Amino acid sequence: MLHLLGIEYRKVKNYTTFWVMLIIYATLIPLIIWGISAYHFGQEGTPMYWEGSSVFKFPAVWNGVTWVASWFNLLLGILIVLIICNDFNYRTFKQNVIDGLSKQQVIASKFLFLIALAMAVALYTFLLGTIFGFIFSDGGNMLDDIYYVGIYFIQTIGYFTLAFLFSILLRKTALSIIIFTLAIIVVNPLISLTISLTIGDNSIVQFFPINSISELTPFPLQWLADLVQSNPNPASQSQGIESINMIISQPIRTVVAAIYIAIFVFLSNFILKKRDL
Amino acid sequence: MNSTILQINKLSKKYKDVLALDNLNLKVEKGTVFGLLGPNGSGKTTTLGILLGVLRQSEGSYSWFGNGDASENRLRIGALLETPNYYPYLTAIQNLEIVAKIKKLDNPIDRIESVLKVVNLYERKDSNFKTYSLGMKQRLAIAGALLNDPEVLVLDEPTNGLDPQGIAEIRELIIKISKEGKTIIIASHILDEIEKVCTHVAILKFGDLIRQGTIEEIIGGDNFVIIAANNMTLIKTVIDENAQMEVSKSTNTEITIKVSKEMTTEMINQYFFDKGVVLSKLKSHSESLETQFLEIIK
Repeated sequence: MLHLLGIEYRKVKNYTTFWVMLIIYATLIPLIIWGISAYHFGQEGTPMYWEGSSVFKFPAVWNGVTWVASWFNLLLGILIVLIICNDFNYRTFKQNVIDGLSKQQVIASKFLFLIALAMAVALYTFLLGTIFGFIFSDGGNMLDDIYYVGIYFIQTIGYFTLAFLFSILLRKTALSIIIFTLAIIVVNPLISLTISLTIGDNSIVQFFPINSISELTPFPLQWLADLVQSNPNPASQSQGIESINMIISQPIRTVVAAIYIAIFVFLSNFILKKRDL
Repeated sequence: MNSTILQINKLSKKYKDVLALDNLNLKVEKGTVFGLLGPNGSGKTTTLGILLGVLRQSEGSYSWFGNGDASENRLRIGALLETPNYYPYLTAIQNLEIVAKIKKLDNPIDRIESVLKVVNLYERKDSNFKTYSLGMKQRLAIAGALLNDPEVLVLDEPTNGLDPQGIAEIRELIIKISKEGKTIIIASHILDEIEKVCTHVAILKFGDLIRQGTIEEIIGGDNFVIIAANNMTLIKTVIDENAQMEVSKSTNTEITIKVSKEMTTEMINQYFFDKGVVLSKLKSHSESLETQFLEIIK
Protein backbone atom coordinates (compact mmCIF):
# COMPACT_ATOMS: atom_id res chain seq x y z
CA MET A 1 0.00 0.00 0.00
CA LEU A 2 2.80 2.38 0.94
CA HIS A 3 4.58 1.25 -2.19
CA LEU A 4 1.65 2.38 -4.34
CA LEU A 5 1.31 5.66 -2.45
CA GLY A 6 5.03 6.22 -2.95
CA ILE A 7 4.57 5.92 -6.71
CA GLU A 8 1.72 8.44 -6.68
CA TYR A 9 3.67 10.82 -4.46
CA ARG A 10 6.56 10.84 -6.93
CA LYS A 11 4.11 11.84 -9.66
CA VAL A 12 2.90 14.97 -7.82
CA LYS A 13 6.06 15.83 -5.89
CA ASN A 14 7.29 18.15 -8.61
CA TYR A 15 3.93 18.94 -10.21
CA THR A 16 3.60 22.70 -9.73
CA THR A 17 -0.11 22.92 -10.57
CA PHE A 18 -0.92 20.46 -7.79
CA TRP A 19 0.88 22.46 -5.13
CA VAL A 20 -0.38 25.83 -6.38
CA MET A 21 -3.97 24.63 -6.18
CA LEU A 22 -3.41 23.25 -2.69
CA ILE A 23 -1.83 26.51 -1.59
CA ILE A 24 -4.81 28.45 -2.98
CA TYR A 25 -7.11 26.12 -1.04
CA ALA A 26 -5.07 26.38 2.13
CA THR A 27 -4.84 30.18 1.96
CA LEU A 28 -8.40 31.03 0.98
CA ILE A 29 -10.13 29.10 3.78
CA PRO A 30 -8.53 30.95 6.70
CA LEU A 31 -8.91 34.24 4.81
CA ILE A 32 -12.65 33.65 4.37
CA ILE A 33 -13.05 32.56 7.99
CA TRP A 34 -11.26 35.70 9.05
CA GLY A 35 -13.52 37.74 6.79
CA ILE A 36 -16.73 36.18 8.10
CA SER A 37 -15.61 36.50 11.70
CA ALA A 38 -15.13 40.24 11.24
CA TYR A 39 -18.66 40.63 9.93
CA HIS A 40 -21.78 41.37 11.92
CA PHE A 41 -25.25 42.72 11.28
CA GLY A 42 -28.45 43.71 13.05
CA GLN A 43 -28.96 45.64 16.26
CA GLU A 44 -27.21 44.24 19.28
CA GLY A 45 -29.81 42.70 21.60
CA THR A 46 -32.42 42.02 18.88
CA PRO A 47 -33.11 38.47 17.61
CA MET A 48 -31.65 39.38 14.24
CA TYR A 49 -28.31 40.41 15.70
CA TRP A 50 -25.53 38.23 14.49
CA GLU A 51 -21.81 38.41 14.63
CA GLY A 52 -19.71 36.31 12.30
CA SER A 53 -17.28 35.10 14.91
CA SER A 54 -20.10 33.15 16.59
CA VAL A 55 -19.78 30.56 13.85
CA PHE A 56 -16.18 29.93 14.84
CA LYS A 57 -16.61 29.44 18.57
CA PHE A 58 -16.29 25.94 20.02
CA PRO A 59 -18.07 23.71 19.21
CA ALA A 60 -19.86 25.53 16.35
CA VAL A 61 -16.46 26.05 14.72
CA TRP A 62 -16.41 22.46 13.36
CA ASN A 63 -19.55 23.14 11.38
CA GLY A 64 -18.28 26.59 10.42
CA VAL A 65 -14.83 25.57 9.25
CA THR A 66 -15.97 22.52 7.30
CA TRP A 67 -18.76 24.56 5.74
CA VAL A 68 -16.28 27.16 4.48
CA ALA A 69 -13.86 24.43 3.38
CA SER A 70 -16.65 22.73 1.43
CA TRP A 71 -16.84 25.79 -0.87
CA PHE A 72 -13.62 24.52 -2.38
CA ASN A 73 -14.63 20.93 -2.91
CA LEU A 74 -15.05 21.74 -6.58
CA LEU A 75 -11.48 23.07 -6.73
CA LEU A 76 -10.13 19.91 -5.13
CA GLY A 77 -12.33 17.80 -7.38
CA ILE A 78 -10.81 19.52 -10.41
CA LEU A 79 -7.38 18.79 -8.98
CA ILE A 80 -8.27 15.10 -8.88
CA VAL A 81 -9.57 15.26 -12.47
CA LEU A 82 -6.28 16.84 -13.48
CA ILE A 83 -4.13 14.20 -11.83
CA ILE A 84 -6.10 11.30 -13.26
CA CYS A 85 -6.47 12.71 -16.78
CA ASN A 86 -2.73 13.43 -16.81
CA ASP A 87 -2.08 9.73 -16.53
CA PHE A 88 -4.35 9.15 -19.51
CA ASN A 89 -2.91 12.01 -21.58
CA TYR A 90 0.71 11.13 -20.91
CA ARG A 91 -0.15 7.42 -21.37
CA THR A 92 1.52 6.85 -18.06
CA PHE A 93 -1.25 4.55 -16.81
CA LYS A 94 -0.19 2.35 -19.69
CA GLN A 95 3.47 2.76 -18.87
CA ASN A 96 2.88 1.92 -15.19
CA VAL A 97 1.28 -1.34 -16.28
CA ILE A 98 4.07 -2.06 -18.77
CA ASP A 99 6.60 -1.41 -16.02
CA GLY A 100 4.98 -3.99 -13.79
CA LEU A 101 1.88 -2.79 -11.98
CA SER A 102 -1.34 -4.68 -12.46
CA LYS A 103 -4.39 -2.78 -13.63
CA GLN A 104 -5.86 -3.32 -10.18
CA GLN A 105 -2.80 -1.74 -8.60
CA VAL A 106 -2.99 1.23 -10.93
CA ILE A 107 -6.61 1.84 -9.88
CA ALA A 108 -5.83 1.16 -6.23
CA SER A 109 -2.90 3.57 -6.19
CA LYS A 110 -5.12 6.40 -7.42
CA PHE A 111 -7.79 5.61 -4.82
CA LEU A 112 -5.18 5.47 -2.09
CA PHE A 113 -3.83 8.82 -3.17
CA LEU A 114 -7.30 10.29 -3.23
CA ILE A 115 -7.98 9.02 0.31
CA ALA A 116 -4.63 10.34 1.49
CA LEU A 117 -5.42 13.77 0.04
CA ALA A 118 -8.87 13.76 1.66
CA MET A 119 -7.24 12.88 4.97
CA ALA A 120 -4.70 15.67 4.63
CA VAL A 121 -7.47 18.13 3.83
CA ALA A 122 -9.59 16.95 6.79
CA LEU A 123 -6.57 17.26 9.04
CA TYR A 124 -6.06 20.78 7.81
CA THR A 125 -9.65 21.76 8.65
CA PHE A 126 -9.16 20.19 12.08
CA LEU A 127 -6.10 22.39 12.52
CA LEU A 128 -7.95 25.51 11.38
CA GLY A 129 -10.94 24.64 13.59
CA THR A 130 -8.67 24.27 16.60
CA ILE A 131 -6.87 27.55 15.94
CA PHE A 132 -9.98 29.64 15.23
CA GLY A 133 -11.90 27.94 18.01
CA PHE A 134 -9.29 29.05 20.51
CA ILE A 135 -9.16 32.54 19.02
CA PHE A 136 -12.91 33.16 19.41
CA SER A 137 -13.68 31.03 22.46
CA ASP A 138 -12.13 28.94 25.16
CA GLY A 139 -11.67 25.23 24.66
CA GLY A 140 -14.37 24.10 27.10
CA ASN A 141 -16.60 22.01 24.89
CA MET A 142 -14.31 22.00 21.91
CA LEU A 143 -14.80 18.39 20.87
CA ASP A 144 -18.61 18.33 21.04
CA ASP A 145 -19.26 18.60 17.29
CA ILE A 146 -15.90 17.27 16.11
CA TYR A 147 -17.74 14.70 13.96
CA TYR A 148 -18.06 17.44 11.32
CA VAL A 149 -14.41 16.88 10.44
CA GLY A 150 -15.14 13.21 9.80
CA ILE A 151 -18.19 14.13 7.77
CA TYR A 152 -16.14 16.62 5.77
CA PHE A 153 -13.68 13.80 5.08
CA ILE A 154 -16.53 11.71 3.68
CA GLN A 155 -17.71 14.68 1.66
CA THR A 156 -14.33 15.25 0.00
CA ILE A 157 -14.11 11.52 -0.72
CA GLY A 158 -17.54 11.90 -2.35
CA TYR A 159 -16.34 14.73 -4.59
CA PHE A 160 -13.07 12.95 -5.34
CA THR A 161 -14.70 9.68 -6.33
CA LEU A 162 -17.17 11.55 -8.52
CA ALA A 163 -14.24 13.39 -10.15
CA PHE A 164 -12.53 10.03 -10.53
CA LEU A 165 -15.57 8.58 -12.27
CA PHE A 166 -15.85 11.53 -14.68
CA SER A 167 -12.13 11.33 -15.51
CA ILE A 168 -12.28 7.60 -16.16
CA LEU A 169 -15.30 8.07 -18.39
CA LEU A 170 -14.06 11.05 -20.39
CA ARG A 171 -10.24 10.77 -20.15
CA LYS A 172 -9.74 14.26 -21.60
CA THR A 173 -8.70 16.89 -19.08
CA ALA A 174 -10.60 19.92 -20.36
CA LEU A 175 -13.75 17.96 -21.14
CA SER A 176 -13.75 16.23 -17.76
CA ILE A 177 -13.25 19.49 -15.87
CA ILE A 178 -16.04 21.22 -17.79
CA ILE A 179 -18.54 18.36 -17.42
CA PHE A 180 -17.64 17.77 -13.76
CA THR A 181 -18.05 21.48 -12.98
CA LEU A 182 -21.27 21.86 -14.96
CA ALA A 183 -22.77 18.77 -13.35
CA ILE A 184 -22.18 20.26 -9.92
CA ILE A 185 -22.97 23.93 -10.41
CA VAL A 186 -25.55 23.87 -13.23
CA VAL A 187 -27.11 20.52 -14.08
CA ASN A 188 -27.67 19.22 -10.57
CA PRO A 189 -29.18 22.47 -9.15
CA LEU A 190 -31.36 22.84 -12.25
CA ILE A 191 -32.74 19.31 -12.11
CA SER A 192 -33.17 19.53 -8.34
CA LEU A 193 -35.07 22.81 -8.62
CA THR A 194 -37.29 21.56 -11.43
CA ILE A 195 -38.21 18.38 -9.59
CA SER A 196 -38.76 20.25 -6.32
CA LEU A 197 -41.06 22.75 -8.01
CA THR A 198 -42.93 20.02 -9.85
CA ILE A 199 -43.67 17.86 -6.84
CA GLY A 200 -43.90 20.78 -4.47
CA ASP A 201 -41.21 19.87 -1.95
CA ASN A 202 -37.53 19.08 -1.86
CA SER A 203 -37.63 15.80 0.02
CA ILE A 204 -36.70 13.61 -2.94
CA VAL A 205 -33.91 15.74 -4.36
CA GLN A 206 -32.10 15.57 -1.05
CA PHE A 207 -31.35 11.96 -1.86
CA PHE A 208 -29.67 12.91 -5.12
CA PRO A 209 -25.97 12.07 -5.20
CA ILE A 210 -24.49 15.55 -5.38
CA ASN A 211 -27.07 17.01 -2.99
CA SER A 212 -26.62 14.37 -0.34
CA ILE A 213 -22.86 14.75 -0.52
CA SER A 214 -22.73 18.54 -0.63
CA GLU A 215 -25.25 19.00 2.18
CA LEU A 216 -23.14 16.95 4.54
CA THR A 217 -21.65 20.23 5.70
CA PRO A 218 -24.78 22.30 6.18
CA PHE A 219 -25.08 26.05 6.37
CA PRO A 220 -24.03 26.77 9.96
CA LEU A 221 -26.81 29.30 10.61
CA GLN A 222 -29.86 27.22 10.02
CA TRP A 223 -31.72 29.19 12.73
CA LEU A 224 -30.93 32.38 10.82
CA ALA A 225 -32.19 30.96 7.53
CA ASP A 226 -35.37 29.85 9.22
CA LEU A 227 -35.73 33.29 10.74
CA VAL A 228 -35.30 35.00 7.38
CA GLN A 229 -37.85 32.70 5.86
CA SER A 230 -40.44 33.37 8.52
CA ASN A 231 -39.82 37.11 8.30
CA PRO A 232 -43.01 38.77 7.04
CA ASN A 233 -40.95 41.28 5.06
CA PRO A 234 -41.34 39.98 1.47
CA ALA A 235 -38.14 41.63 0.31
CA SER A 236 -35.99 39.45 2.50
CA GLN A 237 -38.08 36.34 2.10
CA SER A 238 -36.34 33.68 0.19
CA GLN A 239 -38.02 31.32 -2.20
CA GLY A 240 -39.29 28.48 -0.06
CA ILE A 241 -37.83 25.80 -2.26
CA GLU A 242 -34.32 27.09 -2.35
CA SER A 243 -33.89 27.30 1.37
CA ILE A 244 -32.48 24.24 2.98
CA ASN A 245 -35.39 22.36 4.38
CA MET A 246 -33.74 19.70 6.44
CA ILE A 247 -35.77 16.57 6.12
CA ILE A 248 -33.18 13.85 6.31
CA SER A 249 -31.03 13.73 9.39
CA GLN A 250 -27.25 13.94 9.31
CA PRO A 251 -26.66 10.22 10.02
CA ILE A 252 -29.02 9.17 7.26
CA ARG A 253 -27.46 11.66 4.86
CA THR A 254 -24.02 10.30 5.72
CA VAL A 255 -25.15 6.77 4.96
CA VAL A 256 -26.74 7.90 1.68
CA ALA A 257 -23.50 9.69 0.70
CA ALA A 258 -21.46 6.62 1.59
CA ILE A 259 -23.69 4.50 -0.64
CA TYR A 260 -23.15 6.92 -3.52
CA ILE A 261 -19.39 6.84 -2.94
CA ALA A 262 -19.49 3.05 -3.08
CA ILE A 263 -21.41 3.31 -6.36
CA PHE A 264 -18.89 5.78 -7.84
CA VAL A 265 -15.98 3.55 -6.85
CA PHE A 266 -17.70 0.45 -8.16
CA LEU A 267 -18.52 2.09 -11.50
CA SER A 268 -15.00 3.50 -11.98
CA ASN A 269 -13.48 0.16 -11.14
CA PHE A 270 -15.88 -1.63 -13.45
CA ILE A 271 -15.16 0.69 -16.39
CA LEU A 272 -11.39 0.54 -15.93
CA LYS A 273 -11.42 -3.22 -15.69
CA LYS A 274 -13.52 -3.57 -18.78
CA ARG A 275 -11.68 -1.15 -21.03
CA ASP A 276 -8.18 -1.26 -22.36
CA LEU A 277 -5.93 1.32 -20.77
CA MET B 1 18.87 -21.80 -25.30
CA ASN B 2 16.65 -24.48 -23.94
CA SER B 3 14.14 -22.80 -21.71
CA THR B 4 11.08 -21.05 -23.04
CA ILE B 5 10.78 -17.39 -22.13
CA LEU B 6 7.51 -16.74 -23.83
CA GLN B 7 4.76 -18.99 -25.06
CA ILE B 8 1.80 -17.61 -26.99
CA ASN B 9 -1.24 -19.78 -27.60
CA LYS B 10 -4.01 -18.95 -30.04
CA LEU B 11 -3.91 -15.27 -29.22
CA SER B 12 -6.57 -13.11 -30.88
CA LYS B 13 -7.61 -9.50 -30.50
CA LYS B 14 -10.80 -8.24 -31.99
CA TYR B 15 -11.79 -4.60 -32.13
CA LYS B 16 -15.33 -3.70 -33.11
CA ASP B 17 -15.09 -4.83 -36.71
CA VAL B 18 -11.39 -5.46 -37.13
CA LEU B 19 -9.55 -8.62 -36.31
CA ALA B 20 -6.22 -7.10 -35.28
CA LEU B 21 -4.68 -10.39 -34.32
CA ASP B 22 -5.84 -13.79 -35.45
CA ASN B 23 -4.94 -16.95 -33.61
CA LEU B 24 -1.24 -16.26 -33.06
CA ASN B 25 1.01 -19.05 -31.82
CA LEU B 26 4.62 -18.24 -30.98
CA LYS B 27 7.39 -19.48 -28.79
CA VAL B 28 10.43 -17.45 -27.82
CA GLU B 29 13.42 -19.28 -26.38
CA LYS B 30 15.89 -17.87 -23.92
CA GLY B 31 18.80 -15.98 -25.42
CA THR B 32 17.24 -15.35 -28.80
CA VAL B 33 16.76 -12.01 -30.44
CA PHE B 34 13.28 -12.36 -31.77
CA GLY B 35 12.08 -10.02 -34.50
CA LEU B 36 8.40 -9.40 -35.01
CA LEU B 37 7.99 -8.13 -38.54
CA GLY B 38 5.08 -6.84 -40.48
CA PRO B 39 3.73 -3.86 -42.34
CA ASN B 40 1.82 -1.12 -40.57
CA GLY B 41 -1.34 -2.45 -39.01
CA SER B 42 -0.23 -6.06 -39.09
CA GLY B 43 -0.72 -6.57 -35.37
CA LYS B 44 2.83 -6.16 -34.02
CA THR B 45 2.01 -3.51 -31.43
CA THR B 46 -1.28 -5.21 -30.60
CA THR B 47 0.62 -8.39 -29.83
CA LEU B 48 3.13 -6.61 -27.63
CA GLY B 49 0.35 -4.61 -25.98
CA ILE B 50 -1.35 -7.82 -24.91
CA LEU B 51 1.91 -9.39 -23.78
CA LEU B 52 2.64 -6.33 -21.65
CA GLY B 53 -0.76 -6.26 -19.96
CA VAL B 54 -1.98 -3.08 -21.60
CA LEU B 55 -4.51 -4.67 -23.93
CA ARG B 56 -6.83 -7.52 -23.14
CA GLN B 57 -6.85 -10.36 -25.61
CA SER B 58 -10.19 -11.44 -27.01
CA GLU B 59 -9.09 -15.03 -27.00
CA GLY B 60 -6.06 -17.17 -26.33
CA SER B 61 -3.38 -16.98 -23.70
CA TYR B 62 0.28 -16.27 -23.15
CA SER B 63 2.81 -17.14 -20.55
CA TRP B 64 6.03 -15.41 -19.55
CA PHE B 65 8.71 -17.52 -17.89
CA GLY B 66 6.17 -20.34 -17.65
CA ASN B 67 4.39 -18.20 -15.10
CA GLY B 68 1.24 -17.18 -16.96
CA ASP B 69 0.23 -13.57 -17.39
CA ALA B 70 0.84 -12.36 -13.83
CA SER B 71 1.79 -8.70 -13.59
CA GLU B 72 4.85 -9.60 -11.48
CA ASN B 73 6.36 -11.12 -14.63
CA ARG B 74 6.72 -7.62 -15.98
CA LEU B 75 9.08 -6.70 -13.15
CA ARG B 76 11.56 -9.00 -14.92
CA ILE B 77 10.91 -7.40 -18.31
CA GLY B 78 12.07 -4.08 -19.67
CA ALA B 79 9.75 -2.73 -22.29
CA LEU B 80 9.21 0.10 -24.68
CA LEU B 81 5.80 0.15 -26.33
CA GLU B 82 4.87 2.59 -29.11
CA THR B 83 5.75 6.03 -27.77
CA PRO B 84 7.91 7.12 -24.84
CA ASN B 85 5.39 7.68 -22.03
CA TYR B 86 6.67 10.05 -19.37
CA TYR B 87 5.56 13.01 -17.30
CA PRO B 88 6.50 16.16 -19.24
CA TYR B 89 6.93 18.21 -16.09
CA LEU B 90 9.45 15.81 -14.55
CA THR B 91 13.13 15.42 -15.37
CA ALA B 92 14.72 12.25 -16.76
CA ILE B 93 15.84 11.30 -13.26
CA GLN B 94 12.45 11.97 -11.67
CA ASN B 95 10.66 10.02 -14.38
CA LEU B 96 12.98 7.06 -14.01
CA GLU B 97 12.56 7.21 -10.23
CA ILE B 98 8.90 6.38 -10.78
CA VAL B 99 9.86 3.44 -13.00
CA ALA B 100 12.39 2.30 -10.38
CA LYS B 101 9.74 2.53 -7.67
CA ILE B 102 7.36 0.38 -9.70
CA LYS B 103 10.14 -2.10 -10.42
CA LYS B 104 10.95 -2.13 -6.68
CA LEU B 105 14.62 -1.28 -7.17
CA ASP B 106 16.60 -0.36 -4.08
CA ASN B 107 18.86 2.70 -4.20
CA PRO B 108 18.01 3.31 -7.83
CA ILE B 109 19.94 6.54 -8.37
CA ASP B 110 23.23 4.89 -9.40
CA ARG B 111 21.42 2.59 -11.76
CA ILE B 112 19.40 5.50 -13.19
CA GLU B 113 22.55 7.48 -13.86
CA SER B 114 24.28 4.53 -15.47
CA VAL B 115 21.44 3.79 -17.91
CA LEU B 116 21.23 7.49 -18.77
CA LYS B 117 24.93 7.31 -19.63
CA VAL B 118 24.31 4.23 -21.79
CA VAL B 119 21.77 6.13 -23.92
CA ASN B 120 23.82 9.36 -23.92
CA LEU B 121 21.31 11.36 -21.94
CA TYR B 122 23.33 11.89 -18.80
CA GLU B 123 24.13 15.53 -19.56
CA ARG B 124 20.41 16.28 -19.81
CA LYS B 125 19.37 14.25 -16.79
CA ASP B 126 17.96 17.26 -14.96
CA SER B 127 16.02 18.73 -17.88
CA ASN B 128 12.27 18.32 -18.03
CA PHE B 129 11.05 15.59 -20.34
CA LYS B 130 9.01 18.13 -22.32
CA THR B 131 12.19 19.92 -23.43
CA TYR B 132 13.52 16.76 -25.11
CA SER B 133 13.61 16.15 -28.84
CA LEU B 134 11.85 13.10 -30.24
CA GLY B 135 15.11 11.19 -30.39
CA MET B 136 15.97 12.08 -26.79
CA LYS B 137 12.56 10.95 -25.63
CA GLN B 138 13.13 7.66 -27.39
CA ARG B 139 16.51 7.34 -25.69
CA LEU B 140 14.91 7.92 -22.32
CA ALA B 141 12.34 5.23 -23.07
CA ILE B 142 15.16 2.82 -23.87
CA ALA B 143 16.89 3.83 -20.64
CA GLY B 144 13.62 3.09 -18.83
CA ALA B 145 13.45 -0.35 -20.41
CA LEU B 146 17.03 -1.10 -19.37
CA LEU B 147 16.60 0.24 -15.85
CA ASN B 148 15.97 -3.03 -14.02
CA ASP B 149 18.63 -4.95 -15.97
CA PRO B 150 15.80 -7.11 -17.29
CA GLU B 151 15.93 -10.74 -18.33
CA VAL B 152 13.81 -9.89 -21.33
CA LEU B 153 13.83 -6.70 -23.32
CA VAL B 154 10.72 -5.91 -25.37
CA LEU B 155 11.25 -3.12 -27.87
CA ASP B 156 8.58 -1.75 -30.16
CA GLU B 157 10.18 0.26 -32.98
CA PRO B 158 13.21 1.06 -30.81
CA THR B 159 14.94 3.32 -33.32
CA ASN B 160 11.88 5.46 -33.99
CA GLY B 161 12.88 9.11 -34.28
CA LEU B 162 16.58 8.47 -33.82
CA ASP B 163 19.28 9.93 -36.04
CA PRO B 164 21.57 7.55 -37.98
CA GLN B 165 24.17 7.70 -35.25
CA GLY B 166 21.53 6.95 -32.64
CA ILE B 167 20.22 4.03 -34.69
CA ALA B 168 23.70 2.56 -34.92
CA GLU B 169 24.22 3.02 -31.17
CA ILE B 170 20.97 1.31 -30.28
CA ARG B 171 21.76 -1.53 -32.65
CA GLU B 172 25.13 -2.05 -31.00
CA LEU B 173 23.46 -1.88 -27.62
CA ILE B 174 20.94 -4.55 -28.58
CA ILE B 175 23.69 -6.83 -29.87
CA LYS B 176 25.73 -6.25 -26.71
CA ILE B 177 22.78 -7.04 -24.47
CA SER B 178 21.91 -10.17 -26.42
CA LYS B 179 25.48 -11.37 -25.97
CA GLU B 180 24.91 -11.22 -22.22
CA GLY B 181 22.42 -14.03 -22.76
CA LYS B 182 19.37 -11.81 -22.45
CA THR B 183 16.32 -12.42 -24.56
CA ILE B 184 15.18 -9.59 -26.78
CA ILE B 185 11.92 -9.20 -28.64
CA ILE B 186 11.84 -6.45 -31.25
CA ALA B 187 8.92 -5.32 -33.34
CA SER B 188 9.83 -3.26 -36.33
CA HIS B 189 9.07 -2.56 -39.93
CA ILE B 190 12.64 -1.49 -40.52
CA LEU B 191 13.89 -4.73 -42.00
CA ASP B 192 17.50 -3.77 -42.08
CA GLU B 193 17.32 -3.34 -38.33
CA ILE B 194 15.81 -6.78 -37.79
CA GLU B 195 18.20 -8.45 -40.18
CA LYS B 196 21.24 -7.00 -38.46
CA VAL B 197 20.31 -7.95 -34.92
CA CYS B 198 17.78 -10.77 -34.89
CA THR B 199 18.32 -14.50 -34.69
CA HIS B 200 14.67 -15.42 -35.17
CA VAL B 201 11.84 -13.77 -37.04
CA ALA B 202 8.09 -13.98 -37.22
CA ILE B 203 6.26 -12.18 -39.98
CA LEU B 204 2.74 -10.88 -39.45
CA LYS B 205 0.25 -9.54 -41.93
CA PHE B 206 -3.28 -8.38 -41.14
CA GLY B 207 -3.09 -10.13 -37.81
CA ASP B 208 -1.97 -13.44 -39.27
CA LEU B 209 1.33 -15.17 -38.72
CA ILE B 210 2.74 -15.77 -42.19
CA ARG B 211 6.23 -17.10 -41.60
CA GLN B 212 8.32 -17.95 -38.61
CA GLY B 213 11.83 -19.28 -38.28
CA THR B 214 15.49 -18.45 -37.82
CA ILE B 215 16.79 -15.59 -39.87
CA GLU B 216 18.71 -18.06 -42.08
CA GLU B 217 15.59 -20.05 -42.74
CA ILE B 218 13.72 -16.96 -43.82
CA ILE B 219 16.45 -15.35 -45.87
CA GLY B 220 18.23 -18.49 -47.07
CA GLY B 221 17.27 -20.58 -50.05
CA ASP B 222 18.06 -18.90 -53.31
CA ASN B 223 20.88 -16.70 -54.44
CA PHE B 224 20.32 -13.58 -56.41
CA VAL B 225 22.60 -12.20 -59.07
CA ILE B 226 22.43 -8.91 -60.88
CA ILE B 227 23.52 -9.08 -64.47
CA ALA B 228 23.63 -6.80 -67.52
CA ALA B 229 24.82 -7.00 -71.11
CA ASN B 230 24.65 -4.88 -74.25
CA ASN B 231 21.88 -7.00 -75.68
CA MET B 232 19.22 -7.08 -73.00
CA THR B 233 16.71 -8.95 -75.16
CA LEU B 234 19.07 -11.80 -75.86
CA ILE B 235 19.96 -12.07 -72.22
CA LYS B 236 16.33 -12.71 -71.34
CA THR B 237 15.95 -15.51 -73.84
CA VAL B 238 19.09 -17.10 -72.54
CA ILE B 239 17.76 -16.94 -68.99
CA ASP B 240 14.49 -18.51 -70.04
CA GLU B 241 16.37 -21.42 -71.56
CA ASN B 242 17.88 -22.34 -68.22
CA ALA B 243 15.60 -24.02 -65.70
CA GLN B 244 17.90 -23.08 -62.82
CA MET B 245 17.43 -19.37 -63.43
CA GLU B 246 14.47 -17.11 -63.02
CA VAL B 247 14.01 -13.41 -63.60
CA SER B 248 13.26 -11.75 -60.30
CA LYS B 249 13.41 -8.12 -61.27
CA SER B 250 14.21 -6.48 -64.54
CA THR B 251 14.90 -2.93 -65.60
CA ASN B 252 16.19 -1.46 -68.84
CA THR B 253 19.75 -1.56 -67.64
CA GLU B 254 20.01 -4.63 -65.45
CA ILE B 255 18.28 -7.86 -64.51
CA THR B 256 18.16 -9.55 -61.13
CA ILE B 257 17.93 -13.28 -61.47
CA LYS B 258 17.21 -15.93 -58.92
CA VAL B 259 19.54 -18.88 -59.23
CA SER B 260 19.81 -22.12 -57.30
CA LYS B 261 22.31 -22.23 -54.45
CA GLU B 262 24.77 -24.49 -56.25
CA MET B 263 25.40 -22.03 -59.04
CA THR B 264 28.44 -19.87 -58.50
CA THR B 265 28.97 -16.58 -60.27
CA GLU B 266 31.72 -18.27 -62.22
CA MET B 267 29.27 -20.88 -63.52
CA ILE B 268 26.79 -18.19 -64.43
CA ASN B 269 29.39 -16.21 -66.30
CA GLN B 270 30.51 -19.33 -68.18
CA TYR B 271 26.92 -20.19 -69.06
CA PHE B 272 26.18 -16.82 -70.60
CA PHE B 273 29.50 -16.73 -72.40
CA ASP B 274 28.76 -20.15 -73.92
CA LYS B 275 25.43 -18.79 -75.14
CA GLY B 276 27.16 -15.89 -76.83
CA VAL B 277 26.33 -13.24 -74.27
CA VAL B 278 29.15 -11.23 -72.78
CA LEU B 279 28.07 -9.89 -69.45
CA SER B 280 28.98 -6.29 -68.76
CA LYS B 281 27.89 -6.69 -65.15
CA LEU B 282 27.79 -9.63 -62.81
CA LYS B 283 27.19 -8.98 -59.17
CA SER B 284 26.25 -11.48 -56.54
CA HIS B 285 23.43 -10.02 -54.55
CA SER B 286 22.94 -11.56 -51.15
CA GLU B 287 19.29 -11.88 -50.55
CA SER B 288 18.15 -9.33 -48.06
CA LEU B 289 15.33 -9.76 -45.65
CA GLU B 290 13.62 -6.92 -47.44
CA THR B 291 13.29 -8.83 -50.71
CA GLN B 292 12.05 -11.89 -48.88
CA PHE B 293 9.71 -9.83 -46.80
CA LEU B 294 8.14 -8.13 -49.78
CA GLU B 295 7.83 -11.52 -51.43
CA ILE B 296 6.29 -13.12 -48.36
CA ILE B 297 3.71 -10.51 -47.59
CA LYS B 298 2.57 -10.23 -51.22
